[in-house]
Amino acid sequence: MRVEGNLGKALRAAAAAAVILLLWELASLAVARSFLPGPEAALGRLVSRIANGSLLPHIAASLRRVVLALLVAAPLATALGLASGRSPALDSLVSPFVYLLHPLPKVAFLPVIMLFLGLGDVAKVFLIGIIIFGQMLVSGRDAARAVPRALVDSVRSLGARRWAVMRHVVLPASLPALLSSLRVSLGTAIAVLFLAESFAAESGLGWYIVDSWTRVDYPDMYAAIVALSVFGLACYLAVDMAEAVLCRWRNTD
Amino acid sequence: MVRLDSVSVSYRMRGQCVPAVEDIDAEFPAGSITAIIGPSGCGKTSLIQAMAGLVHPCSGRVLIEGEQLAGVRRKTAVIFQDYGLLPWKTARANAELPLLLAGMDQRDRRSRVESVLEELGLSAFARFYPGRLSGGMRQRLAVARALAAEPDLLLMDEPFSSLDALTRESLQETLLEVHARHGTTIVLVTHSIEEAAYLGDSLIVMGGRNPGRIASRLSRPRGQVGGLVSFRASGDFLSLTTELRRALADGPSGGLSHGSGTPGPGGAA
Repeated sequence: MRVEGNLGKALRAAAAAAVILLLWELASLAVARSFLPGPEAALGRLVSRIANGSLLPHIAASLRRVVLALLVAAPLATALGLASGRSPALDSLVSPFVYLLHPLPKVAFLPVIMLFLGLGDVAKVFLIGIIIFGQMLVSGRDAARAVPRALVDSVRSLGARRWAVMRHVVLPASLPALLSSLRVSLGTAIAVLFLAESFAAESGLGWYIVDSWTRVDYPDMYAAIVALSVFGLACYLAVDMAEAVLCRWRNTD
Repeated sequence: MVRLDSVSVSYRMRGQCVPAVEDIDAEFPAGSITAIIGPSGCGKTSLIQAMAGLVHPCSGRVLIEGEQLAGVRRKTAVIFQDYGLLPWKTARANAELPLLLAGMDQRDRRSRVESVLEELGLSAFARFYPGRLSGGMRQRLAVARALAAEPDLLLMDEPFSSLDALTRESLQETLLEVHARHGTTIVLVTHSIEEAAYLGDSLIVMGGRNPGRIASRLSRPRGQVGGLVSFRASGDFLSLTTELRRALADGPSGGLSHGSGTPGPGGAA
């Protein structure tokens, strides 16, 4: 039944993709301008750019930035979020900062971050990192706070100390919320990645889009836009798969 | 043997200290089953939490085998009404948890839990998540997890109250079988008069509210053994439930007239 469900999901996604491509084709025919080539031109270019290897370093550069940011931000945010969700003392310290800083559009700090951290990868990774960090910190804290007291008591009665309660109760209980916030923040992070890479960069899909734009090579530009979209979709799917494996217990009823 | 020595427990709510139970004296002989019964809000759960070492009494002492309780104790198992099981662990992993926390290695855990699951008829469901089990099987699993730690004291907080009547009775039988085999001291909190009368060797009736107090104590009529199906149908059982009902209605003030440990009217018959 699971397989059938997944197959159905894949078929529906394929149908939606076909509809989008069709609309794109129709729009391109209707507009009939060079800055909106049809999907066949863009996809053809994408395939040839991947085949000749010229796009791969850029995909790799973007991927490296996102993965690095994720590897640093997610564990830190999870640890601090869960800890402050379970400790009122820590929470009263952390929450005022979260309250003030969370609504700020981090991307507006791009110039400041670049002034401090330079034009290289560190600034880009940092910017993406704080976006993932802020989102996961808030969800982690709220999820940890919502863990039923009775559940914690039952595990404490089995002899669990603070750390064991975190590992066996709070972390698994908060994992679904942490993963959905990761999914949301990865979407934001990729949007921000584009912006960060369009400044003073020499690699990455964002840079490639802007570069082909200035070269007035529209099929190339669309090829990179499609690549960035697929990149975002792949991140999304990766989180979905992680959730299916880590939260298997939720698929039981 | 477990002894409560004028135990008072309070809890914090919106920064204020609310008394839950006050001045509780009680003895629970080794191997006995004691049912604590009372209306909701009488502090039964707080009392169980204090006996489990989950909260500290604000005065008085909990003595287990003569030693003052200072925190959670390995040989005490607690079964809760809901929430006792971790939904993200399989039945087997749930039952193994107390052993894992005690640092037992995997092979020993496996073999100990294997036999406990077998005892409770759950072997076929070892790999199921609790979400896939019926309410009755979940509470069976909670009993299995408690037994895995080989406890000498089993505390139960309204363990069967969310189950339907037939499942509840079958679990009561299971509990008595487990008790007969392992000889564990059992303290059971319930709000069901029938359950208290059927399972308890002795009965503690609580009343009052913030704080709750012991209103009266009853014991099973002499010569009757708990849990025999015939006992449930006997006149003694009926008169015990009647007496319990009266004691509950009287509340804390009228409780003294029922005396301590006196057999019910049916006991003399």
